[in-house]
Amino acid sequence: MLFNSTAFLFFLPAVFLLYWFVCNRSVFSQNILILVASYFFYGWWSWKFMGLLLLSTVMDYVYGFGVASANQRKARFFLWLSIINNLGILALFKYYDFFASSLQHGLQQLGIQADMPLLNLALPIGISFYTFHGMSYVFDIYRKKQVPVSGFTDYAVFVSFFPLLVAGPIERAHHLLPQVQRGRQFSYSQAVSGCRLMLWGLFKKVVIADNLGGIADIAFEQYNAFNGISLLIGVVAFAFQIYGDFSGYSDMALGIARLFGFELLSNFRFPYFSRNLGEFWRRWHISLSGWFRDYLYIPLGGSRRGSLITWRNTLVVFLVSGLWHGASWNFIVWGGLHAAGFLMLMVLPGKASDYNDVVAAKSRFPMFGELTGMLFTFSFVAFAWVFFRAPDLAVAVDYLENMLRSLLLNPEANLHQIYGKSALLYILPLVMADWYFRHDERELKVPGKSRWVRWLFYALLIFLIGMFKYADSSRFIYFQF
Amino acid sequence: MAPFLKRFVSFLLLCTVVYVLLIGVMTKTNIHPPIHHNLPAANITGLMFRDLHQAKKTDLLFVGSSHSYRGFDTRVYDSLGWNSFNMGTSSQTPRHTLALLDTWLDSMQPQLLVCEVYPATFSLEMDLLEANLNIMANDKWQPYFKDLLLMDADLRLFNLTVATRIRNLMGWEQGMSLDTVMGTDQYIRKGYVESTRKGFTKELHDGTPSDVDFKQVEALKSIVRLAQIRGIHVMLLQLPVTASLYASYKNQESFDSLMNSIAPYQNLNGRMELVDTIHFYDSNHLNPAGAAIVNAAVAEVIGTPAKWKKDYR
Repeated sequence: MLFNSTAFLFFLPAVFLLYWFVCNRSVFSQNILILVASYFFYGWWSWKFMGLLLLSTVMDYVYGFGVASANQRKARFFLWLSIINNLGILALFKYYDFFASSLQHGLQQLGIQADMPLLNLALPIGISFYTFHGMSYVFDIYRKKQVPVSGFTDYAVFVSFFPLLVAGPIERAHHLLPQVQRGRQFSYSQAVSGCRLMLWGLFKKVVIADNLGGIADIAFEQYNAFNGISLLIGVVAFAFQIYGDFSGYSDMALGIARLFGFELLSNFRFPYFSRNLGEFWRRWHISLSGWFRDYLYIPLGGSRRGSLITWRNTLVVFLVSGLWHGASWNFIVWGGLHAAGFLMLMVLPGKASDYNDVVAAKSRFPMFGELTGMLFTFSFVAFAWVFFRAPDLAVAVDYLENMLRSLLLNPEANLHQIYGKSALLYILPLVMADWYFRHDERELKVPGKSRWVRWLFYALLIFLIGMFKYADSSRFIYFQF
Repeated sequence: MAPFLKRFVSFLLLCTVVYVLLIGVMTKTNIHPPIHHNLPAANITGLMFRDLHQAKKTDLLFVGSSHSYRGFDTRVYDSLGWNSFNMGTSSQTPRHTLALLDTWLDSMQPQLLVCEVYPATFSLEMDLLEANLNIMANDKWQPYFKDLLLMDADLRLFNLTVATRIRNLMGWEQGMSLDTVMGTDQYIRKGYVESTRKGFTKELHDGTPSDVDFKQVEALKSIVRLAQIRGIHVMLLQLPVTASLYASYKNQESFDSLMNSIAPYQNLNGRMELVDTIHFYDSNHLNPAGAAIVNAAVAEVIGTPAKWKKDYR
């Protein structure tokens, strides 16, 4: 079930009303309802993979007790068992075919004929997210940040809570589990802020991302037919499409969770206003970056063992992050590009960790230096998105080659043109809203005290969603991961 | 909780009012933002519905997709002494046809109903929205619209329903100018549309999708029953497409046998001398030269009322 589908329009109010009116007597009954609703939500897409979700949940729940053991060898054994099981599930469903076909191709290059069997399994939706939830729980127990939960229902809710089940944010056990276990009271202000977040997220998905997606799709699918400016517009359109799509989803997830009394981790903080790549990665898909920092970068030694180890760790994290997104060489190249950019930043004067504050914190507009940094960072990120969006490496290289050749050598080539006006129509409102709200968590609070003015503005957003809706339920980009 | 629900309901009411008002403004002013459908606007289908509302009893009634309204030239059949009408609309599938005939068959009282059948309209991959939008944007509000709405619960259809209802209630359709020339299309009369497009646009095609939507098959059977109950003869016709498109069809034999099992059926592909680049303007659609040849053949296939009684149920 998608947040932007008609089915969800009926599902959410039904669960909300049952949660606060029927199951409000105890936390247990509320959690049971959330669990049933979450499996229903997941099963709506494919009931066949509900078993895999349950299996993954049961395994990590059981391993959690083993990892909590005072016996260090036993704890380590269960920790590795959990890692192997979770990565095994991912390897089987997500990576096996990629590595098998890559190996076969590599052997063929060496003149060795090998016929690797392919599994051609359907990728269970949200698999990368719920396996990472499970691992975070086991890791946190191992690091004594979390004690094993006794109630299976509580743990199952943590893994499968429907707002974050299929595309995150990737929650941490020590952040979400206490919320699952304690009693929740309805809060008017929390519910209203949840509604605002949902509305803004839906607007970004339906009006901005889906419509920019139409422009990006044309450019990437017929890149041989368009001139350089059009291909550039295609790249920028995709950059804002993926931002609107994923941050829109995350906003909706946060908003829905608030309706049920939960606070989820924030996933985006205006990433395209970043002044360098380091800042970008502290503002883009924050829950994943944080996960890799805590459970991969730091265990590898982080930045405490000298420059070379730090660079190696940075490279590993970005390459693994690329691979996490998809079993394809272009995602690995995408990760590699970001690693290269990040490493360059580390050797340049000024550290990657600079810029923890918001851009133009005390002024209306950015300083020249900030603006240059923002434009440079965005250009780099957009360039890397080409590898993310293209179906394979060859298309990405061709796309960039066509774009640069047309822009630099033959701008008058007799090729088709995508006009930038329509892309701007969708990009500008997003940039303006983000700039206006950049000091706060996004919530689209309309200034002014008159409720009618605020409500009219929200009603207008709903009207625009209704008018610009592209298809009944276009998928979210991150569902494929 | 109670204050939240109370305010939420009030907000929803306000949204409904704002939504309807703004659609009304757009309908009146003909503002079309870059949305993915048009609100009611002049269209060749609008001309067909205008003629349909004025039409009386007819001998021959044609229904089907764009193949139908670009193929069956009502002038040809009228000149043979039959009163004919073409109710074809863009992407019309049997399910749409059934909804239309439920409303119009009794007033049209045809002697022979010719259903243009095209494999793509029976496919599970067929987009039902295009036909729904096209019909609802161009006809006056009718009870059969609810069948179309239920067929494909799409927000765009809902928007269009609101817009059509407002237009009808306010009487705004009276002022709509319906020009008989729309781009390269020329509306001739009683549902027939001629294309003035020059040349032939070659298209790539990977063949008709092979999965049949049995809801469409059931709808076609219902159409046949609906007609037979009223003593109306029915024939199914597959009109010619370009040879290259026809050759790409993967399931033509099973489609022919399926159609034959439902009602008297003729597949006119390969039955006459048509050249892709001379008689078509794209893979699917006949140009006037092609339509002339095909209509002569169709008239022969249809024959006389004596033949209808004998050959067509």
